[in-house]
Amino acid sequence: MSQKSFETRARELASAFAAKDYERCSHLLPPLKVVLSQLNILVPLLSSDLGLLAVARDILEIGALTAIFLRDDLLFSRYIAQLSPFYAMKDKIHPPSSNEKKLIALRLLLLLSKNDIAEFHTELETLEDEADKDVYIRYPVMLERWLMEGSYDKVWKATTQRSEVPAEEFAIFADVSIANCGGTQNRWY
Amino acid sequence: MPAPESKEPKVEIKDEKMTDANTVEKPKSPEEIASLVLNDIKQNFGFLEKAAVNFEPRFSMRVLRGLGNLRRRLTPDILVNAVDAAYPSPSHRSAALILKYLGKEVSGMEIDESSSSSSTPAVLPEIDIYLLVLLQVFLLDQGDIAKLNSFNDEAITILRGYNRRTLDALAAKMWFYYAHGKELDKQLVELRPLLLAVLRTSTLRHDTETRAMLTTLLLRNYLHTQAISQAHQLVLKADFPESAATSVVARYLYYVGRIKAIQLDYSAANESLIGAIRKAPQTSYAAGFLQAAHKLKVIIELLMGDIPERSLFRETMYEKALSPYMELVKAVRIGEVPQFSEAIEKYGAVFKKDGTYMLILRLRQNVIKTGIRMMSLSYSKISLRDICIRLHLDSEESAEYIVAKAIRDGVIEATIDHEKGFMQSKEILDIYSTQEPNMAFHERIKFCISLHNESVKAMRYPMNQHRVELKNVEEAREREKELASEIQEGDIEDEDGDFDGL
Repeated sequence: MSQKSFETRARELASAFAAKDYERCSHLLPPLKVVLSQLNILVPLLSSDLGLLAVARDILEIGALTAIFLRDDLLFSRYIAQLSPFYAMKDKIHPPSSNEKKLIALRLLLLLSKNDIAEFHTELETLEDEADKDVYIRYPVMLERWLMEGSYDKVWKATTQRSEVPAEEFAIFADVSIANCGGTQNRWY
Repeated sequence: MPAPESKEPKVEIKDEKMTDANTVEKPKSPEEIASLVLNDIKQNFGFLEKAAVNFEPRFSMRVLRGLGNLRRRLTPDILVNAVDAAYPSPSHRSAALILKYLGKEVSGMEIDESSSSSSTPAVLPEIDIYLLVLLQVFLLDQGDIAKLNSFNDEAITILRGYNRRTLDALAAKMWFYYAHGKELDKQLVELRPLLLAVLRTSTLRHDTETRAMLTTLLLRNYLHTQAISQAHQLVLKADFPESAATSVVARYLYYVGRIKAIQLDYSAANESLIGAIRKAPQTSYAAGFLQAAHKLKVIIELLMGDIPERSLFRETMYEKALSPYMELVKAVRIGEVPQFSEAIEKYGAVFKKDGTYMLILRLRQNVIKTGIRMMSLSYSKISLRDICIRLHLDSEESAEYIVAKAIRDGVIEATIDHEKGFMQSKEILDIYSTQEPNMAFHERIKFCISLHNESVKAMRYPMNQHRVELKNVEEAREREKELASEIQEGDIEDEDGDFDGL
């Protein structure tokens, strides 16, 4: 496949995502990933074309976000795994990703909702300094802290009130975490 | 990450001690000292030879143990003399290399032509590598990182040309300084493939020392770049040789403890750290390491709900380094949230530098739990509003949830009266009616048994020793035979004698 049709397809995907047509995105994505692997940019190497890597990263990010909207945890985890080498060499890829923090925060939230606290903290440790500053990452971090100390009223507030949620993707996890703390609360009363 | 400092304070302390030693031995002239050092080095050559011939690794260990003492007294002249003593000619590959980095190339070159034609008699690889390690240390102490790294690259190629088991301890040391040099140059990620390759080779060669050293180096490398899951994978997949030098084992245990702590496996982390602290040399040489390990251990103990012993904070070696942690312990012990937040704010930079910041943030819930426990011990009945005020919580509702969680987690034995809004504590159980004493007793027995097993394993059985014993036994048997025959012969005389006596 020629590079041009690849770019038009990428644009098509971006517009479908912007129009919130996630079903269509999920159909567009698999063939695009095949193209990415043909162009040898599905896994970033120092030798690959840095300009194309940014495009590849954006495609994968759209994939990850689509997976969230379609509520497919496994697919989301796979996309995150594919994205992590891109983020590892982020100082080489331009322009920098605007979605990186959001996706990491979403991954943290996913781990939290699955009650995988060990993995949650492992992930958190890799961020260190950014944890308290970034608005997206702050959200799962605070949720975890409240859950651990038992301030369920704050968790309830943070997940149910739309104004407290930093982005619409985060709201999707709200019902999961409510179910979570509801489940734990029911056991005492 | 605390590990880099773990070495630097070590050096500092050594330097201090050195100045002390200098003042005592002042009357000695520099030449005298130089000749003493040279003698030490030559003596070490002897030990290395013994190690190689008898296949006795403890001699090389002994030489390496003296390295710290030696490194402060090294001068270029001493090293040149040592090279002269060790190598038959300065044209030898390593000799030329060392001289080049000492800036004494010219004198070597002159003799070069005359001796290069004659067959170069082999230098014992152990001595060869030992001198290279000495130069590594020397360059490191000079602080010329670029020079050290370029020397390291060449020295490593020489090392990789050898494949001798008697070289293991020295090789491990060399890799250590190699990695240390690269780390100072911030080439952590670039270093990884090489370290992994060497780890593979050393595993195939059953080279325990190098394997252990490289595993710790890799762990350190991963932890430095926050690649915790990779480090965890390495711990899971590569099994660590228990028979390695104890200092390496201590370091390994420290890293494992760190990983476990991050993954919330506090009891395992605590166990590793206790091992690390016990196995580390208890001298001022290892002060940096011990401080780092104790810092982490204090946090883990707090996270487990224990309070570290106060005497630890009074020891001179730790007093200063642990003082920020002391503040934390105080706050956690009495369950005061504001005091805890204050300590974090005040010493945040220190904690971040030590790499314990994220772990400390997790402590908040423990502070609250302790606060609740203190309250349930002091009051048999307390209103939720009072709890809320005492713990500086936002609302009564929060307080109720938090108390409920504490009850569920088994922190306190109490009930909540939702309508009237108070917490009623249950009677305190007699601890001796529970499983607790049994468990504690079991822990101690387990520790004693494993200590016993380890000391049995650590006993040395010198090679061929049994032959000497066999010979002794044979001699003894012969003596016995002689004795028996003498007795037989003597019997008659004895009898005669007896009669005489009678």
